[in-house]
Amino acid sequence: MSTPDQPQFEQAEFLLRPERIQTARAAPAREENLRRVRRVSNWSLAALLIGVGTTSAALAHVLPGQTSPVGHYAATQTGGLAQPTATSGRAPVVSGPVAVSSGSQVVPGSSVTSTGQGSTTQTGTVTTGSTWKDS
Amino acid sequence: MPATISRAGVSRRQPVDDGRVAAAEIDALGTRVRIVVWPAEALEAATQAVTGELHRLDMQASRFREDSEISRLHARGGGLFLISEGLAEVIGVALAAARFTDGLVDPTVGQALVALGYDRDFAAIAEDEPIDFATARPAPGHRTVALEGRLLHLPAGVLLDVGATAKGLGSDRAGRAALAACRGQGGVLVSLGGDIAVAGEPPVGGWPIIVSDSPTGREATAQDATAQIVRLGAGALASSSTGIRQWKRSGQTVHHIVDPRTGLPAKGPWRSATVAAATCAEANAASTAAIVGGEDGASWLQSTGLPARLVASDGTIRRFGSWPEVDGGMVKVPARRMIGPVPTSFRSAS
Repeated sequence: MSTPDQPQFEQAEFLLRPERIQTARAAPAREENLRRVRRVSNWSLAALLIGVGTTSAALAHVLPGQTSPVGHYAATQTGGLAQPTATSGRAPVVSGPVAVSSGSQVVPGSSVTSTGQGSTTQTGTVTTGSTWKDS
Repeated sequence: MPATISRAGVSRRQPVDDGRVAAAEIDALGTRVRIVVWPAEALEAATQAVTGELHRLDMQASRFREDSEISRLHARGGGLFLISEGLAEVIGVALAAARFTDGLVDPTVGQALVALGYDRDFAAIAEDEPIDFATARPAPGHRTVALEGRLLHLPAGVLLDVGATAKGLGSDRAGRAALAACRGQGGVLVSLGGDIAVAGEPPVGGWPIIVSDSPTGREATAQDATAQIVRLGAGALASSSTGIRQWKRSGQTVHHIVDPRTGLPAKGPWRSATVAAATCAEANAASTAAIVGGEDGASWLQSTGLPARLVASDGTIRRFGSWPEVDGGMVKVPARRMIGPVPTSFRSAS
């Protein structure tokens, strides 16, 4: 039987080279390992495809409600809002204004005049404080 | 709890509402500082922390005290300096604000302010000294200044005035310091002459704040025609006004907001601007830029997306971004930092 194709030639060559005998013996095991890897890869690919499909379906369901992770990411990209630290449930309710923003008041180097709300008390005189240009 | 007499001035303790919130006022940096905290027991610690923080800022960056670090730099007449971390942050924020505002706010206006007579404590400005407005020159510009970590190159003849950002930065620092002094518990509001930063947990519904302008220089109240009460839960709020800190030179009324492009007091349609931002330094810079830029300033403000409120000379009010239209509305402050953390390596020209 003459089948002078390339694989047979290669195999014959192996038999003629003692240093490759070990390699030749290992070939079946290698093939088996490769088959195992392919089997694992196929299962992994299948699992990946199922995962992607499931995630896509979930996102497609959630997006109209604008509560998906994608929506949150977009909000973050556009800046979002500054948030206070976690609430404790103990915060007070303040009804009246506690401060005024109107451009800086000037405090000359003299006694302080009474301002503001509540039971203000006034003592002493200004001791230091360089006047800054401000806005 | 007794009133605190501090190096920075006088502290006056004021109970607010049901007593769970307390407020104190001190005088520092030539303006009034208001500290509001809850729980009320934290007021003493918070006030001391704010006082210390503002004293440090004064020693770093005040142009009006000879012993400040920045005055000692100016006295050297320019050069290369290794400065403190604190002053590096102050100047870094000022340079970053100049870039953020396209130069409408610029820390190199110091010489222009001196030329206008604002070279001493505001209360000591003599109103009868003549001045030649024709000699006014544009500011050298922030690009002439280089900051690399703590290494500062200041050209000869350039005087820095960081007033347009440092007060806001002071509020930011003071707010953090006060909250730390309260061991991170509760909430703090620090108002440095109307530039307000909040930290920690706000009261339910936010901190109620009067936004107003008082062109006569008197203290603003909720009854002012242009007044509005807003609520702030996080971030900061700052106002700039041409109606405050005015003086007269050569028969003309001048004010402290200088246009870096001319070296003269800003002339524009807005008499006051209030801006909310993630930090008070940013809000401070943005409100000043709006005044300086006039109509261009309004366009620039619009482009930032920051909530803002401008009052024109005739009292007309214009709102920007998500600024609330009704009394008691919450100011929604963007979390995005416009100036951002100051990099350790910074060159303004970059």
